[in-house]
Amino acid sequence: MIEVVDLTKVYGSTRAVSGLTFDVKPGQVTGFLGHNGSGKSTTMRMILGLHAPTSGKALINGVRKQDLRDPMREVGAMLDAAEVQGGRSAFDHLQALAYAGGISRRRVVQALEEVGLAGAARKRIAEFSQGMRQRLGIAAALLSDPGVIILDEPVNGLDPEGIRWLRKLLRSLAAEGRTVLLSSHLMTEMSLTADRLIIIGRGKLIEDTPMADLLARFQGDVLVRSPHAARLARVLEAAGATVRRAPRTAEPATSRAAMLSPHPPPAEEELLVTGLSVAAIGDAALASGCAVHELAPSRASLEEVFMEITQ
Amino acid sequence: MINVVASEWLKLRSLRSAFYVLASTLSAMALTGFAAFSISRYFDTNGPGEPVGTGLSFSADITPVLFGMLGVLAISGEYSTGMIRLTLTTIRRRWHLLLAKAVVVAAVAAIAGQAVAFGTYFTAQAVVGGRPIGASLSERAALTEVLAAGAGSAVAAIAGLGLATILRSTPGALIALVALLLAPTLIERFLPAPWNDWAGSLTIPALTRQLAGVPDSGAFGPSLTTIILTGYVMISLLAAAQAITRRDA
Repeated sequence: MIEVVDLTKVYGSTRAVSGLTFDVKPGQVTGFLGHNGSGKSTTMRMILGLHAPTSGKALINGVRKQDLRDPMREVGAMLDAAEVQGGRSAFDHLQALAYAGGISRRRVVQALEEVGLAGAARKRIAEFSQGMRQRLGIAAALLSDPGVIILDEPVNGLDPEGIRWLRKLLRSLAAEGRTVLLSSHLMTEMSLTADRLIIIGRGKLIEDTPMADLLARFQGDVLVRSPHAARLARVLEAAGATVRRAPRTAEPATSRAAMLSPHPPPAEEELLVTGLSVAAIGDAALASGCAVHELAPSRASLEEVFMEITQ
Repeated sequence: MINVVASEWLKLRSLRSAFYVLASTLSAMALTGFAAFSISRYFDTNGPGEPVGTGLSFSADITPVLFGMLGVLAISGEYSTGMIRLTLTTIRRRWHLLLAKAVVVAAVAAIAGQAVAFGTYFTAQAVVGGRPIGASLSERAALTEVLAAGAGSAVAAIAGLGLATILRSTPGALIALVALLLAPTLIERFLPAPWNDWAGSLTIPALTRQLAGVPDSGAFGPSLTTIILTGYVMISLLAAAQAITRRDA
């Protein structure tokens, strides 16, 4: 559990974070979104006790980070995977952290295996690829088996297989009842991983909602493909919808079908309908006797939603 | 706390630059060897002149710089890479980290400094050979002079650690370290007596000799020297603790 209460950070004349309040609850993956310079990293640093808030407070499991009795057991974090000393081997890097937290050597070996770095344990970190450093950073965050996990841009530099692995890992950590706070600029990945979103802009809270609610609120158009598009458009407009003719997209499948068939089907057209549900459009089409070949709600992508609400 | 010391000991052991700095301390032996050689030559041709003694004084200005660097490197790399943030998230109190690093670098510097001092002494005696210009560890004065070297090295290492914690930069801390070690010698020239003598006695090499009670080595006796060296350690650690606990990381 992370609680951020009226958190404010002022650097000189810049208000990096301004009156931010939100909770990050256990048992789910919480995505933390914001443009560059929106105050995400500053907020994470304040939660981790690295930066002192100008006012307000950030609590981990009910207390400030510096008041945790055994901080490593309670919180694990990766702020920037590049922030390591390259001359050291991956094993020594983790073992040094393990000593500080009173964690066994066996756990270090296990953590390296979990992130797929067992074979590179004795290699110098300087020789690691960005993806390997990312994995090492995740191993460090998970080393102490903490209940609260904070990861800043953990997906960067991971290959597609690594991204899938991390998604499953984060989902399973949340399913175990842990608190997972994750920031990322990769919106598709975020929409697949996070249950809840906290979106900030210019240091202020913009959204704090479940992912599904947010996407539902930005429900997009319904795509309707019909050979009777013109008639259907009039019917739908009469029912109160706004209808736009979709720009025709080249469809190799239909053109090939048209070439092979001696009786080409009537020309289809696509309509973009807003203001009516998929069900209502289907009913209206049936009532008016218009054939419908495709009826697809186009969900707004998280990226579109994010760009829209952070404008 | 002991956990953090173990962690810092592993970090220092896995730091390449620390090994380079420790290897460079061998230059102290080489320098003393050269000095002892030329003095021995002079003795052979012109008869008794300056004695070699333990040989430590010829290279005494080098070792505090190098062990100070060891102290600098123990933390400056964490600041320059940003790893300090990871380290601090795993630690309960920031000054625990500082204290653990101080324990580790002071212990390493004391042991290595002592080893270098003995190495320097034996190098000098080997070069001097049978000539009556050397020293012997069976003489109490020579033995204490050699044994004081470890303390001087440890104090230099803690001063380096303190400077790097305050300045958070490797080059900045190295420049400040050299400036600080030379400062008493530079100020000495502009001060009237007896202030010049006091100022000149404040360098770490001079304090190391005064700690051993070497004749004509400075204005202070062994007990006052102990207080001054402890003062260096306390000032370094308290200033660094202020810096590390108050500032955003």
